Amino acid sequence: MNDLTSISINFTDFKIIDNPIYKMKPKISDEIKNLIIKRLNTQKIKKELKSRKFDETFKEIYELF
Amino acid sequence: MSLKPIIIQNFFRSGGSYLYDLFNNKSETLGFYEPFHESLSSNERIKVEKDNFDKFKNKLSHSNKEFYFENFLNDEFILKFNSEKFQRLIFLMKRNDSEDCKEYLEYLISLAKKKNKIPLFKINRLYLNPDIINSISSSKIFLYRDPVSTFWSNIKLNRLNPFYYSLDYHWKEKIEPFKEIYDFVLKNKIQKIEIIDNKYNFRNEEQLNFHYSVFVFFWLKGLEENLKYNFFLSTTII
Repeated sequence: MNDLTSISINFTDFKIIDNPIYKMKPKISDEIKNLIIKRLNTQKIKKELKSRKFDETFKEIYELF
Repeated sequence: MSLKPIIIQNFFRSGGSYLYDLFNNKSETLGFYEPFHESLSSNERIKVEKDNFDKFKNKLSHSNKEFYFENFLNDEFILKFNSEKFQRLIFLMKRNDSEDCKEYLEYLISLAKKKNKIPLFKINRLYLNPDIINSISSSKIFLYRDPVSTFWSNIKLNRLNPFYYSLDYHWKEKIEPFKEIYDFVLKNKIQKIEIIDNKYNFRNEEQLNFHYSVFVFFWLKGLEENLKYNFFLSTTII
């Protein structure tokens, strides 16, 4: 963030909340998956995620289309 | 010191309030939290928010030290804008009130600059059309969080009601692609989420998956629209 604004902040007090419900992953229906491919610019989204190295962080989404 | 505004654009439950609080604790900033919030439409609603600040922030798991709307108090221009002009259910789309929104944000920027402070914004929980944000010279941060944990966090807090209200609005106004999503909701008889016997009323796994599918469409549409602009992109993982 230092280059972004004239002030700086740090994240040292960030707490990770380990809530088990967040591990439960629902599935995306095929119908919505097809709608996503039809209606959204999925290639651009993939390219952006990859370029920012978020393809691993959002692996499920990255591999959806 | 540069007084260039900082604008945080984020979805519900994506860490925006946390990031806002980090910046807002600096003496150099003047924070405007959710400048299009419905509570800014009347002094009575702001008072309710203020009286219940600790209760609300605990419910939201927020760390905010300053009352959310501290810097909006007693201002007729702000009340008038939020009570009369702003349509809240529009998700990302082009707006008829874009110029009014821009004028409003510029007014808030002028308030901060009069105090020689950096204007700091956390925009609303449903994305504002990034055209408006992009038209203002500022440092822009687009924050997004992985869809699974964002989904569960929204269910816990609001049971996805804001998404379905917004979907309903877009369907009535015949705004694509949400009409197709609404058709999907009707066809699959997706039920409103309620808590029954201390459990969410997902009748079966399929219903849960339908809710998640609708949510992911919103998540991706937001990502796609915001990627068109020059945001500093960041992600929160919980």
